[in-house]
Amino acid sequence: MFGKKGSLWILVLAVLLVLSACNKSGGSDSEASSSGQASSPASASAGAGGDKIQFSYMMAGKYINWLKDLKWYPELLKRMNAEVELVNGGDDDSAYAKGLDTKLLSGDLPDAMIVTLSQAEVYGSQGLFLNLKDLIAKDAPNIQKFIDSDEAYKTLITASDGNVYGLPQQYPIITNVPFYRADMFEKAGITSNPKTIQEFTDVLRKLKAAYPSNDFYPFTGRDGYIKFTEAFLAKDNIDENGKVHGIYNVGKSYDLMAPGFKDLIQWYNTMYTEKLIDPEWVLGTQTEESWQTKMLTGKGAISYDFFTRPSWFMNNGGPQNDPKYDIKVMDALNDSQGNPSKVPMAEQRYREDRVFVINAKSEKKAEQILKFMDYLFSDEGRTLMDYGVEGQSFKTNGDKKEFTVKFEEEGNKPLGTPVWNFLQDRLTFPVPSNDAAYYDWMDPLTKSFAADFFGKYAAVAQQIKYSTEQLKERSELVANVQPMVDANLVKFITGKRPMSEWDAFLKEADAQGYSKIVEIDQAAYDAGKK
Amino acid sequence: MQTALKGKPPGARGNVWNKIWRSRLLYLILLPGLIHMLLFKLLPLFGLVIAFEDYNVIKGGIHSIIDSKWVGFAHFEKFLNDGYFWKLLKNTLLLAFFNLLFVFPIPILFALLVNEVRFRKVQRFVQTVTFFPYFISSAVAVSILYTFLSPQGGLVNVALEGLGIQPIFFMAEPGWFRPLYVMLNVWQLFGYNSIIYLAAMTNIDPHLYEAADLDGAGRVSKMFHVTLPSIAGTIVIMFILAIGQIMTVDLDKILMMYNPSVYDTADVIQSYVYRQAFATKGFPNYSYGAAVGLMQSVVAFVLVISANRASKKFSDSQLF
Repeated sequence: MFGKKGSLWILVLAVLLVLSACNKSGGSDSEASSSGQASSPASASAGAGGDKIQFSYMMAGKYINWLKDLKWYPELLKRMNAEVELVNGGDDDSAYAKGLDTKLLSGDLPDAMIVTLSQAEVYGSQGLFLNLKDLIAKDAPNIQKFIDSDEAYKTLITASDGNVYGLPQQYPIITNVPFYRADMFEKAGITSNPKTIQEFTDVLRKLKAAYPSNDFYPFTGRDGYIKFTEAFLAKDNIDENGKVHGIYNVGKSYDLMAPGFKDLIQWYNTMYTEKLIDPEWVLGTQTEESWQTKMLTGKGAISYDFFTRPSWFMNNGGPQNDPKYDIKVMDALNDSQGNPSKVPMAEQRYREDRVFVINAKSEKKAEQILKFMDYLFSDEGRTLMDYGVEGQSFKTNGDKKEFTVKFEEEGNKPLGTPVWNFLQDRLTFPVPSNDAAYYDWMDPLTKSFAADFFGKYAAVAQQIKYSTEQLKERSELVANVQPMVDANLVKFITGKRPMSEWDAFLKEADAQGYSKIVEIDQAAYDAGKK
Repeated sequence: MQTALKGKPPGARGNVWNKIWRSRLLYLILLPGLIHMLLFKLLPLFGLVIAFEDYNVIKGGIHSIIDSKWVGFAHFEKFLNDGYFWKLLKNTLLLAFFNLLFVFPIPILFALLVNEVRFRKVQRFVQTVTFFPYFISSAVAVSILYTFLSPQGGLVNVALEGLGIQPIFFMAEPGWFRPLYVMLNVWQLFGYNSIIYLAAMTNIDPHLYEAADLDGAGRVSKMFHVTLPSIAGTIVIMFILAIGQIMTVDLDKILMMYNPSVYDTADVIQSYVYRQAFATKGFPNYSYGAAVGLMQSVVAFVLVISANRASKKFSDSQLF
């Protein structure tokens, strides 16, 4: 049909097609590797004896993009005579986490990377990552000093075999904050901020009365809608006797069995019935964009969200839409016993999902890599990461360092623009945080409340370490229990299930495995204490 | 000798090789495809063995599979004994059943109607327009759905309010989840799926229509007595293939559409396995996921074989 020549050409094309398919599937790794900074011959010349520190470092692509823009980063490389090949392991945290095990499986790993604490311990004990304990003691005095100064950190990084496989990032002490449209409060005749749940409810009612529109709901938000657990004494927690309450999540979740939690759900039911809370938020259909729109256009007046959000609204359309637009932060509400609430941190103090490890195959470079990391734990390194370069981004006034650049000018520059930025909540290299410097770096609105609010209300919760078996069983149980609990809470709040069935619901949750999870948390906590 | 007795002439093997040799270029053309299928379709099936192991990712490469601890049917038993299993199975089957009930026949009806359009340009325009949604990603499609159905300013609820009806929280009502999922699938797929039937219609002998005309058949009559029977074979084949998808749902869409309010109807086997695989703490449970996936595949395989046999028995059409 094609003739001999034609058939031969078709054959050649078909072979090329298959080869190109094979090449494509095998080439994605090398493409990912080169998507970081200019590729370097890291593996060729690096070693304990070489002058230049060279290593490859894998983390999520978004952090690489941020790091590459930071003006202190080239200065760091210059000071350390270092060349770091940044390897993109997935565009964001979610993609990175999902692909990490596959990358670990491939065995083709960079010299250093970010993993979870569980991965560091389990894979480290099986020989994939280096035990850093002796290396730190020998070559990294600043890291050692930090470990020795913080018992919680030391406990967390010490694996069950006594080794240290990874170094987690210390997250700044920050929380979510309740904030409100001050201009709408004024119009509604609200002259003082609420201090209790009852006063908060009255404020919502006054707002609803002042803005009776059908699509106005005073209390709105995004993501998890269960707030103020601290005011109802219904946070998940570990009490002073070492008893775990609730499915433990460093205080960010709730204790289903606490009497206060039933009161909280009852309160949510009241808010829902009286149209004081955004139903889309409660029902889980709210998007980030719809929440922003509502807060910007006056369809919502109060939110309880990340502490930089008030200034975000002020800088992203608020006053442009309405010259009177004004957002302020209120104090945390008192708890049901009349004491100031202890608000959970926005994240764990030590990020178990941001742990720096060194590939066991890169043992020869370990000394160099640790030397680099040790510098970041030193006073000089901390100053560089937290304040930048003296004379360029800060000045020293007596003992105090003062920024000479402003967040509001630097922080909002488009991606790809070199900036001075010191957002310690973001991942670069996992190091200790300097909370005072972090608060000081913020814009005027955030700076006006950050140190005071976090100083008064932020609660740093203990962290629990689990064994592999505990993690496995816990994950399976949570996958079963959480949707059931979430679905029922919505039913109670919306009135589809009467509160009279609350106790029956608690039994159902127990039967599904709720208490078993708490037992696992308790066992893990107790084991960590031994 | 025995071979000869069974009816194969002596030298039959030689004839086969001769035939292959004579068509060697064609077989060479086939070779890359065969190699590709072997490497990328058949060999990976070996990985299914992890469903019977406690897969340990750390050993690396093939050793992860070979050296992992053998646990037999433990993962299958665990899933079948899970208290949540029946609810997940019910949700999965109902969602897939309704999907099949509407997504399968609508393209056939649409193709029949489009085939009746006399103006070729109009026909092509309609085909093109209905084809477009296929290229819209699930994320965008679900976002459009959210926007249209929002209780606060969504077009549908604005219309309902205009008619004096209270806004409905479509995306938060468990009862609405299945209809919305199916409607979204119909919207995205009916244009694309109808192409196969339209292609089958182009092969219908025009003489059949002329004969029907002579018998005084009208357009509707021709549609149901000429066109539809002529594409019956294609419909049966497509139906058998669709049966194989009965345990499969569009996980992307479900993950984007589900929320605590609709867990009662939206939580399916795949979303459950996904939650387990990507728990916020711990390690992906590959073996468990593989076991559940394998179970689904076996059920689908049995269904396809049964449907094929039924088709063979009751009609002339069969897939294999």
